[in-house]
Amino acid sequence: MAVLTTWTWVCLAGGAVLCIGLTSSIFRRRKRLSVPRNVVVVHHFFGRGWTVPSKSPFPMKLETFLRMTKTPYMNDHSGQMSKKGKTPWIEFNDIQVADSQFCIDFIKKKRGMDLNTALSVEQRSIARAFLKLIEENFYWTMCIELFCNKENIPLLKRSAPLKGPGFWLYYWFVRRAIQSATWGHGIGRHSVEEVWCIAQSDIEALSNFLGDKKYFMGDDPSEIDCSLFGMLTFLLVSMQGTRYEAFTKEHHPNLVSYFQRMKVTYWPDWDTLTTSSDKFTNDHGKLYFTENIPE
Amino acid sequence: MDMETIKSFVTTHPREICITAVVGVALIAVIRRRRKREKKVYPPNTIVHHQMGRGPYAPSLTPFAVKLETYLRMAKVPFLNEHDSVTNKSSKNKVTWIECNGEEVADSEFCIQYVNNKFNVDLDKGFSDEDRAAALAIQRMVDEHLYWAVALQRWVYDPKDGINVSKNMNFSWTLAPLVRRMIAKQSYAQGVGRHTEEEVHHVMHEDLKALSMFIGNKKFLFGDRVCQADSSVFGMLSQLYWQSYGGYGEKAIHEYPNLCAYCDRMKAEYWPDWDDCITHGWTRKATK
Repeated sequence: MAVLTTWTWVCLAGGAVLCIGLTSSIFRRRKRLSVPRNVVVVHHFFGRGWTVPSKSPFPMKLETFLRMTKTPYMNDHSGQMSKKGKTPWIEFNDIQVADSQFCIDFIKKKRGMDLNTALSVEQRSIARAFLKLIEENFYWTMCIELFCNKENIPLLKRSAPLKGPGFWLYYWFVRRAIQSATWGHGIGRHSVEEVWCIAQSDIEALSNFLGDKKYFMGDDPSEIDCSLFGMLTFLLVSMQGTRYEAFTKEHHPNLVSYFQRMKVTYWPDWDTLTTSSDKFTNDHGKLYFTENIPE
Repeated sequence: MDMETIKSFVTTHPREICITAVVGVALIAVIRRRRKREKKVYPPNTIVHHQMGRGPYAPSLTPFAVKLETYLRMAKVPFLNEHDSVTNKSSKNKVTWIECNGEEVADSEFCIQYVNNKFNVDLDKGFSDEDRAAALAIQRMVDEHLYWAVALQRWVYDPKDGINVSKNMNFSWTLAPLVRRMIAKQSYAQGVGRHTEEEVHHVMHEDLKALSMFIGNKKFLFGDRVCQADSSVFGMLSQLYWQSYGGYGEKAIHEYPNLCAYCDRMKAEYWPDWDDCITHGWTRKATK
């Protein structure tokens, strides 16, 4: 009898989870936007952040690209995940594309435009190498520092979506996901201090290459600026108060000035897109650059 | 003792059998852990490069061992190879690691930094800050991104195209599916493994194209003098160029003739004993 009772509870709990999942997915589907043709719909899984327009660098990268190229787009904050389990993802005239770089390549092809036309062949290849440094290496060092260094727990508590006991469930869940991903990646096999050394090398390389240039590759913006800006948003705003941010401000201030320049140029409405601001407005479904929608 | 007796014993003593099995496994694990590794005595101030063993057509089956050994040759530091890391893994479970004067370091990049500090080596000396930064970015692209496309191609896609991975790698046929699952799982966690095969080919080509455009007509990455990142690039390309066993990776690199020429140049410069460092398709033992 005792064994049966335990199994009954397990089945009830499983059933409850299933119901909640189904209900929320049905509810999310009801919020589906009606989208005009030739408008990119950007799906943000995390929605707007407390102090940043997006908590993840990849939606920041994608949205910065759309703003840089004045591509007509709208944001969908209903929280749907792509089939690849990657976010952000886009929809365009019923075609779905996941992975921020694939999204950018798709948009470039559809609109017949390329931000890298002014770059030489060698510069394009360096830009690709830095893209990989930023997204395949540096990004993970920041995830590890935030979620695997216990000193950053007070910082996380301030911006976490759940407070009190719920925070610990959130922390445990996200930490496990990062540990699992970074173990597979390889970088998670190092200690937090070793990862810190790797991060410093990456920050130094970004700063040294940028130098006193206006944009990463020169006087004009190019595609790599979108990715770098997204990552610096994470580093300098979401990770404010960590040693990563302090190190960058103290030893590589050119990255901070670059971040400010990009923010003012491409995100003049920053304050209306951060939930901590009085001026915040929910832009779920709002159309941007409608003047560029082809007839 | 007939089958009936055995069957009856198993069905009437399940608890005892389970406990015995668990205790047995635990005992084996404890004994293996406590058994001290045979500590060999190595010459002082010599890098001992622990690696998996020689490959059929390149000095190792893993790009990181080729990278690290190429770097040690470039840096001209005293070193010797121990082909034991399959059973003698590093503390981080990586199969490419070094030790020197009893100190262990795992991960090819950390190993290189260790050697740089210990032996006062700087292969990038004289390059501008901007070039050094670009070289680091190239190393990151090759080791943290291109690697996954190469691994997926070798372990997940090539077998589907009929390439016999176990025979080519001289692994037992039971191991190949385990390695394939591990690579699929790791690359999914990393991100590249979430793409379709076609998309992985696309990103492989994007990386190869970037390398090809960057090297151009130059002898090495940054001109006539080799730099630290050349070891990473050569390590990774060696797998595509010499150890793709006719798979997609081989076809991909041949679309970039300057990358093939680069591989041949690096081999001639730093591996004059190449033929002694490969098993020629597992037909003979590598003498070095």
